[in-house]
Amino acid sequence: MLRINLLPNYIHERRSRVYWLGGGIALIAVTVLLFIFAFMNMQGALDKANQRLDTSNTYNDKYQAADKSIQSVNTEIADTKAKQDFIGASQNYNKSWPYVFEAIARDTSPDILLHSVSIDARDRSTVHVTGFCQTEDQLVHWWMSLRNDKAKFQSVTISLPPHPYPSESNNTRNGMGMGFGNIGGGMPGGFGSGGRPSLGMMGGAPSGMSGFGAGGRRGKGAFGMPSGMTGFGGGGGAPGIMGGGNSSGAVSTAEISGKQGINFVATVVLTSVLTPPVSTPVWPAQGSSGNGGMTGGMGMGMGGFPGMPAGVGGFGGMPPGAGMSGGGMGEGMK
Amino acid sequence: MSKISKWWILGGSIFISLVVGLILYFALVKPRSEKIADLDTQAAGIEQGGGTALMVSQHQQLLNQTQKQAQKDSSMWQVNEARYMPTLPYGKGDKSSDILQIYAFRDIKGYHGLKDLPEAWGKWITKWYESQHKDGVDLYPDSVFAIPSLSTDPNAISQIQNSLPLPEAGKPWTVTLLCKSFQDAMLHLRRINELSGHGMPVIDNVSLQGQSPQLILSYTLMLYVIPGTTPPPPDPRLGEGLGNSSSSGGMGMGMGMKGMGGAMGMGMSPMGMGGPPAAAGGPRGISSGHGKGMNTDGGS
Repeated sequence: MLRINLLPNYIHERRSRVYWLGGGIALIAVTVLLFIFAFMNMQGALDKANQRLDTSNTYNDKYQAADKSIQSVNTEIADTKAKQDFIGASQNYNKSWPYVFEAIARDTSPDILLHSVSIDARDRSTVHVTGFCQTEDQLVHWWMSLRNDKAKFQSVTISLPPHPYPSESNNTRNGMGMGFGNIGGGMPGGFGSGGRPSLGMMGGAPSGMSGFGAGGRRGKGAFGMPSGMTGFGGGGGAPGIMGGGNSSGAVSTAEISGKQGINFVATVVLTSVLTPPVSTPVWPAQGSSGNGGMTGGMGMGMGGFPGMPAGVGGFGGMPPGAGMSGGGMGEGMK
Repeated sequence: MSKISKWWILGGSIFISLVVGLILYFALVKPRSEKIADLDTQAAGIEQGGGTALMVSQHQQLLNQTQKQAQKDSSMWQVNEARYMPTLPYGKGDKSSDILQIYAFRDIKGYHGLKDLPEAWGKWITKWYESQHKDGVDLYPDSVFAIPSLSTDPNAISQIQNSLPLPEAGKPWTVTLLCKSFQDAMLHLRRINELSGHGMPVIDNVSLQGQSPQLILSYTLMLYVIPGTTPPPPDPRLGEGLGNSSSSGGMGMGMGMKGMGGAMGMGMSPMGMGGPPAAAGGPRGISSGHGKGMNTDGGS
């Protein structure tokens, strides 16, 4: 049956308006409720955050307390620790030296006769070696064995004799420091600059390596000298147990116990395993002065001979009869 | 009211909902959200700074380790102090603070007063090296372990705070030894740490030269005495009558007599070329003058 709505339209609209109004109010209510619900939910997150903060604060207090205790312990022990560290470092430092020498000795062929072994004081990893062997082949074999021992040695340098054609007579032997080095050559031996002020052996090696006569590395007193003037000549000391003579180059012919051979100079760079610590243990640590009162020293001491002008090659204080302080050793050792 | 259509009602409701929602958001939700974020940030910062159980536990372990290490260092130092450090006249339980007594009379290794320290140490170290003969190591002939005089001013004792380097700060002895064999030389180097009761020995610039049985071993040697206690304060009643009040006065004479030569010569001449140090004439070949020479190289 067909239903026909005969009511006027306004009556229908009035009825539906009430519905719409109810729906609108419901929408507002739902919106409010939703936000309140969300707000309530956030309370949980807030509580969690508060709890997290409290916990972390508690732990932090414990951490700070522990930290304070650590600092306190460290402060209390600092002085003792510094002393003990110094003792430990000194003991290790003292012990480190034999390792280096024994490492060199172990790797040295029986065909090689070492004259001197010294560790460069500047970097504590470069070892200067001088020695003798009968043939160049033996020397090269030793070089190869050193080079192959990568665990101990970073690099090995050995000066070999030249082989020009036509061959020249080896004219490199000199007596008593009459070195004529490649640089600044021809200066009389005895006036060599700055030979390392300790034993000649310390100076011999590096000077040989650089092709100078003997001389050795110059001492501090040599600063200000033109570099070309350094290193020539004989080691600067009166010939003592080390002798004063030196070869003019790194390699020279020599004879030991009636056997002909060559003197050579080698430089070996150690790996860090063998290298002694670079800094020498000092107490108190450098830079702070523990005392200076009871030891004074040089203030009243007499100076030696004043140095001569640089161009001439001055000499600072010839040791009066002190055989201990020669320059390089080189030939003098034979 | 009759004029309001359903669309107006719908639009109005939506609008009011939005407004109410916005009001609620800004009044309630946003502040709380910000507070939560702020708390989280604070907590994270504190956690990073150590506010976690893990970090506390790690720090506790570190504390334990530090305490153990401190105890270890302390006990090791006690051992090493007893082993290496001498009892100076004002150290280790000696409560007297009479500085003149300390200077002149108090026993030090069988000698009288701190003034005799150079002699006591010099003779002792010489004797120690001489005792190495049985181990195939001989001191180079005429070697002398020179030690400069301490200041003649007793009050200078007060300045010996925590260090007394011998023979002189930065100026070690140069020791030269004749060794019968390479092995003897190496064993000797290993025995350096056994030098006891006279300060911590430190050797440097070790070198070998020559062949057995005339193998020459040389090195520099310093002894570092670390006093166990601080010295007494100066006695104001002691004037300058007994000696030079300057700290280096007394010493200078000693060095001047012994060590003249090379090292000082270099200082005087700007163009000087160094040269070997004064071995101080024969018998003092290993004197402190020689030591100075070593140091002019700058490498030690």
